[in-house]
Amino acid sequence: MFRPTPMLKLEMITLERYRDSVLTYLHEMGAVEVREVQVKEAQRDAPNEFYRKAASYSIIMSRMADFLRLHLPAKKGGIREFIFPPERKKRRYVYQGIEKLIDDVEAFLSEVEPEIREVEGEINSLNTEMERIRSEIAALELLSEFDVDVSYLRHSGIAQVLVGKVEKIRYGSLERELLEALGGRVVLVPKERGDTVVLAVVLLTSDYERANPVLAKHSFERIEIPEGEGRPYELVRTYQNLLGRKERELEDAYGRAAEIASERYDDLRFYLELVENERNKASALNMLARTNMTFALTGWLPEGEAKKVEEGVRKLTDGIVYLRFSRPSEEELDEIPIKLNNPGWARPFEMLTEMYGFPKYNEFDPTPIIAFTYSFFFGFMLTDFFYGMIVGIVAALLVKGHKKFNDGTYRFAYTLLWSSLFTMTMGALFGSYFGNALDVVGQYLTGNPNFGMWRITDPLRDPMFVLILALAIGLAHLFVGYTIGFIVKWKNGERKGALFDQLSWMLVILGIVLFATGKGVPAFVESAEVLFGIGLTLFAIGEVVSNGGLAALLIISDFFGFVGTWLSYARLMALALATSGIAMVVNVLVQMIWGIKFLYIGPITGVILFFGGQFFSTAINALGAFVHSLRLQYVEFFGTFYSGDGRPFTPFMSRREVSEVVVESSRKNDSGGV
Amino acid sequence: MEPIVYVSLGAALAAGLAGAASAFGVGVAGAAAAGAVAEDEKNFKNALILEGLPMTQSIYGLITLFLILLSARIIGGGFRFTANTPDNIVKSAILFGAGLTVGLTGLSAIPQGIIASAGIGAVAKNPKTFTQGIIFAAMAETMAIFGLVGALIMIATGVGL
Repeated sequence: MFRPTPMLKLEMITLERYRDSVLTYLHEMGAVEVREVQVKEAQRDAPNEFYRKAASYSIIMSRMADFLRLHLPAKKGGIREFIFPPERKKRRYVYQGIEKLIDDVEAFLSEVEPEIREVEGEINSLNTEMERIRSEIAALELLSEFDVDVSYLRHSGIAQVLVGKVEKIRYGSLERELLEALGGRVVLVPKERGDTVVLAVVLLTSDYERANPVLAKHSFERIEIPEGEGRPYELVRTYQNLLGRKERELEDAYGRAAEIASERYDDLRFYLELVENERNKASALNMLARTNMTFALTGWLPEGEAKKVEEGVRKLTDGIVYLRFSRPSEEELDEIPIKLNNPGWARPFEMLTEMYGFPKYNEFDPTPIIAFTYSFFFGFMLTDFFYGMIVGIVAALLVKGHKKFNDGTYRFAYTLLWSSLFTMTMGALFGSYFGNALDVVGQYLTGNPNFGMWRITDPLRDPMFVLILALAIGLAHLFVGYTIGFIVKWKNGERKGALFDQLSWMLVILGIVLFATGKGVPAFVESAEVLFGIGLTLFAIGEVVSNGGLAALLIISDFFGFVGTWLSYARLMALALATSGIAMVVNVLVQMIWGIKFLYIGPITGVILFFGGQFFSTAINALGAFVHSLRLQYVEFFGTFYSGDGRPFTPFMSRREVSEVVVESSRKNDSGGV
Repeated sequence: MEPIVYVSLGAALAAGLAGAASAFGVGVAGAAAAGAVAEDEKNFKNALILEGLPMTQSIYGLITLFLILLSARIIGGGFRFTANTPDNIVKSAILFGAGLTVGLTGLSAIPQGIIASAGIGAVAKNPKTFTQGIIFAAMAETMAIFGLVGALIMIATGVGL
């Protein structure tokens, strides 16, 4: 807690023939972050034939999986599925080397790929054909203006018929120029259709070359005459029948695709995951260094995993391995990957810290503090018992449903669950139950116009109290931040920074607190003045030391920067009051319409408006509380001490959603030629 | 001016200015949201939340309107400042000031909308930037929150509910 997980540097040299099994072991274990071996002119490994095959199969299979996913039978569920997603079953695979795995994948593909390709090809060709038929029907609809057998429109011999479209405004000049160019040896049959003219041009085939430029000049768009005999409207019916038949065939093909999908999709996902992991494993190869007989690997791992990794690797390599675990040196501080290390109750809150950035290795991990302050600020800004209960119920359901997956939804819901507890507490303290709803109901039932729930104070009538409370909380929060910063910097030897950047403000805050609490007690006021003075002097010296001549300006702006940061906590009060304000607005509106007695319209719409309005208010205020509580952590609190410059720990790790791998150490397969 | 003019203007400016600014902000963000959804429908949820952020100012405006009306007893029976006495004029002018503060600081909804629209563009490219986008947009809201703090103090301590 409060510190990142202690890390060790791993250096390993072993025989090349163990490479596949060692890499697989580390990949499945997911405890080591592999780094490039820093040896100049080292020979690098490249993916061999099998890894290349894995990469190409993963592309083919993911395309096939995309196709099958489209045809999977629709899932039922909705909200229930979202809250309680079913657990996926993992299928076991005994891993005996990549060659065997590629063999298995090829066997599977040889069976499945033709099936899928066949139905996919059929669906594609049916779609193309139907598209063609639809365009034929569209053309026939245009030709229906002529009401002659379409075979005439296709006619070509000594005379030739051309059918096409031309814009209405161009028709006049087209007719004139055609007659002129062909010396009158042409017949035009125009049919107007809106802004265009459907036109049949009959001319001598020998005149075609002369007519063509004129037609092109007027953007004459030729219509391909569909195959078949008969008048257009008769032919349309034939084509529509054909289209219907193709549609039925397409339905059949979809049916078969759905059958294949429900039968094969899970297998395909399974094998796809296997090859994708192989592909991912190959990404480590170019970080290794190799000689003809050996390879070297370096990386980082959490101290707690070292023993297990050592035992595993020694067993796999029969002890023929050089292994060294070393603690990081000062120079390596920026290199060390960071894994946060918190007890179970605070772990979901790591998400919030990580979103901003990881601490450096020698810095402080604020997650446990954030767990309390974030939830408390959220609660302060929402401050309503029932709103807290609504958020809490939703969060508790999601926590229950998603706990086994430990996914983002679980972690977020867990933080919400904590926040909802604080919201209910604050709501009870300030007597806010759907705003002033319980007061109103109480006044109605008891007939006492002054009835009110118990509360320490009514925030809407006494906002100064809430404001002072918010600012006091802000001061405490900032003080904690500066203290942490001071301790961490002092320990890391940055004494100057600790004195000028942190201690100065700690003293200023102590001065403010003493001054505020000890009004009228001279001893308090005097010591407050002394602390405040020392703090400000330290701060001013710090500015001069780090900024030199610019200090005069920066002292003023940085001091007011601090004041601004402090006053920013006023948002705690504003958002708390905004919540009671919106809730009250809803209640006032409901009271207004409650009195309509006709057909019980008042009470009925009142109840709908009340719950609709309060749920809306819960959603919008919870969003505001989330955003601004997070902001107070990121901007105000982290500003006092946190860098967030650490590099996250990204272990060399397989992704197993549908598969589970048992590594069988069989050295006869580790041929070294992989 | 008569007290009723101060009170009505205060309420109108709080809800009106902040509401108009929110509409601008939501408009700017909404245009970006439509584009992001056209690119990929999965962006809908994230874009919708970001688009809704500049709406808060109009809610602050509405709360202030209600509080001003409650404080002046326009809601809840019997207008409080019927007589044109100096005290009534001072109190109604404070309500006017409170309304104007929220209205003017509510203009922050416009830049918030611009930030939210950039956030929507960013989320469409990389969904992981969603929370960061929200935080950036929330920065602009700080001014509206300060305005609301000021107005609440003016109404509650200057006039009383």
